[in-house]
Amino acid sequence: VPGENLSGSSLVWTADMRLFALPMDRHPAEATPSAADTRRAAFVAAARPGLDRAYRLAGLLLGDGHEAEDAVQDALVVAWQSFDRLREADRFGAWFDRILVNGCRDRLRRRKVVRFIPIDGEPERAGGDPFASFIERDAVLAGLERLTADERIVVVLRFWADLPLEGIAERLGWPLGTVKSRLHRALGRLRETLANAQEAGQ
Amino acid sequence: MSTELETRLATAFRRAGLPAAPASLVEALETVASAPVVSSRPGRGRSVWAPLAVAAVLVVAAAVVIGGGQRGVAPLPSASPSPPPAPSVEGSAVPSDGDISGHLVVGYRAQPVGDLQLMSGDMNVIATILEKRLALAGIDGVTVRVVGDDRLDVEIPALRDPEIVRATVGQTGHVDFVPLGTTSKEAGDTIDPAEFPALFSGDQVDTAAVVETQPGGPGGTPEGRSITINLKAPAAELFGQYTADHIGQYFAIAVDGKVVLAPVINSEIPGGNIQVEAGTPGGFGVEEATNLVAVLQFGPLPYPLQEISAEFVP
Repeated sequence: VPGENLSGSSLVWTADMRLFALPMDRHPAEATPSAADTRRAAFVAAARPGLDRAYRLAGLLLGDGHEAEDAVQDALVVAWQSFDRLREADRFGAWFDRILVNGCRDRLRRRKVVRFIPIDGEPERAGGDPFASFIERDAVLAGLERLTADERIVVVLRFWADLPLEGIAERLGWPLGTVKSRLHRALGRLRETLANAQEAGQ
Repeated sequence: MSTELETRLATAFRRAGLPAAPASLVEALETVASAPVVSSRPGRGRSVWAPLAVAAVLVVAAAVVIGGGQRGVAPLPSASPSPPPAPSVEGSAVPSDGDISGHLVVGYRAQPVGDLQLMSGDMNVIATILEKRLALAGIDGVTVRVVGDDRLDVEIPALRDPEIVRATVGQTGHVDFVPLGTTSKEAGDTIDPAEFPALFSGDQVDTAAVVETQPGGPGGTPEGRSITINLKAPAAELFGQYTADHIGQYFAIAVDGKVVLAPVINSEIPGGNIQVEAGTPGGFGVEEATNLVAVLQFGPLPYPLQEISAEFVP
């Protein structure tokens, strides 16, 4: 019963969104110290191998190392909190991708509201961000900056992460047709940007 | 059909040079996994709970991001950056639906600025600037006529929305580029020059244009309409230096002391070539984009105009 014994307690959400303190000995996930430790170890073991990849994925989506780090951290927090829902441990990668990509998508959409972007900016002066310079060094990748959030996500998942269209659809929770049409649009726009850049370079 | 581009993309992505996760992120993994889990009570449906827990975390995460993120401008579809300066005398003289012929004639008087008195020819300069602004905004059929030493009439065909014309004519069009620091402002907010002095003004703009990146799908909505601005050398240098030192801070473009755009500085912007883009579907509204470009391109009116009369002439 909530409120019966609040000493040495941990916090619990109830269905009606009230926050209760639960006596320690009744805590579901941490009934014994070893259960908590096991859960923790399992999470770290599942997340650590994919951490470099996750950071790079976020970096390519956001074009910014600092923001990528924040995005991965946010995704880790979400993943840790809902880790118990993941039934198949070998699906951790795809499951975590989904959390991360959705977080990056929100960030992209939020910052796309209005922003200054340089035109013909010199790549060397991009502030030394590793992702920004990686992207700017190649004309075809530089075109990513002109894509919408969704187009950019599809391109990075398809050509960097090398995922099949079905895999992208699953991660984003989009119908396959939506993935196809966004990829098509993105490629069209990249091609156009590239053509414009070549024209300008002549 | 896009095989070549696809190959090029895959090759470009495969190139070496992407960094590994920094040590701070590896540490964060340990920290995250030490946090208490927001959990359900035993024996109850976990499926009900977990989304709530995730939602709670997401709310916190979103709040953090928004707090440190940017608040952009909400473009108002037909907002006039500067409303007509004077209450119109007979402003409601708009024809009914059945009557689509005739003109609304709006009279304006130029106001002296400080000790500067109007000289002969000034009204012609003003009329020319107004005509160019209206033409760029695609407002056809409006006639600007000088009717006195300090007066002009603007004839608006009944079919035109008079408010759009008034907004275009009524603004002096003095543009300022104003650093806001960490203060976020929205379109329409007034800028106090004592609190936020301008870095430079519209006279430092070499060229400005509205750019449509790519016409969208069947709907025909232009995808990503943005504004490009090229600065003259002194301001280009100033702006490059300023943006390099103030990444993440707000920067406003204001017309007649009111914010039109207040984006966040995302990166250093060297060379004085600026693009401002809005991520709303279709980018900026046509009117606000062309209006800003028009005042940038054709400069401010030498003397502000005040509306002194409005009369419908059948």
